[in-house]
Amino acid sequence: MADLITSLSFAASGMEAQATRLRHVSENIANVDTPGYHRKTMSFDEEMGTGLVEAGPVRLDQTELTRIYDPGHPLADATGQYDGSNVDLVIEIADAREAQRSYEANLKIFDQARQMTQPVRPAAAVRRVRNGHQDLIRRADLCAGQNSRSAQTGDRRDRSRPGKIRRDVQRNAEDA
Amino acid sequence: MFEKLELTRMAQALAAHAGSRMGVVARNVAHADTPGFKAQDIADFATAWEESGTALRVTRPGHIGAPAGMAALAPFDAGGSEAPNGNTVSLEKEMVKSVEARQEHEMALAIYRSTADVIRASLGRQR
Repeated sequence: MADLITSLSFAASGMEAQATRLRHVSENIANVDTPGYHRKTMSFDEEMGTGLVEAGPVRLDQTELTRIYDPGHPLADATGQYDGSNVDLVIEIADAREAQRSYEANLKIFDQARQMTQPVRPAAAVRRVRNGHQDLIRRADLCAGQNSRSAQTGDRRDRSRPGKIRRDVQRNAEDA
Repeated sequence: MFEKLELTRMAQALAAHAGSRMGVVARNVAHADTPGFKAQDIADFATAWEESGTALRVTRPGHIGAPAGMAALAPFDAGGSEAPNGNTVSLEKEMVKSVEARQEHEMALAIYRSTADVIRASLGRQR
């Protein structure tokens, strides 16, 4: 059981790291037209002690900024050019796809580990509830038997009750 | 009472093994994009059970033998092709392993449950 809980926390840390990565990618894409923007890159790391995944520090990509020719631009210099960003949309989209794929893999593992922790208790609980219901049904039958005897002796007060109890109990058992 | 039966003890060990395998797989998948991370795995149940069974040999059934369950399994490097950043995790392989672990776990629970049913039946109670 402890292993399964550890699995859950591992998968969760993986998902968190991938989500952080996706956030940086979206920041880069949003700033693709910002003059002078350096794209953010990050790497994953193993957390000391726990071994969980952690998102490493953000670094700025120091490759050269693209020079864009636009003499009418307010930032244009004497040659009519200005510094754009060094974001390459194709790279960012590929990175986003990779993050999505890893995120989904983590999610799948999380789901599997969660499902593995499920069947331990509910099956027994359901059986217990069902047994309880059967017990009630048996008692209702007993009541009905007694009442039909009392009906023969002329006492008709509660004749409709046991049937109703029985129906209700059966409906509850089916719901369970 | 359940701990003394060989069958339930084995089922318990199988479930525990599936749990620890799942833990290793979850770790691998979480580190699928960590540079330099090496994919890990643990020995399959047959090997692990055999090792724990033959660790202490008993000459009579009454003697104190191997401890119940298995020793903790040490993860080892699973190998595999290395990405340019030194990572050896293959998500596809991990998916297969996780399904294997899941099936192992379900099998263990099914065995445990049916054993319990047999015992309950022999006690004359309802299943």
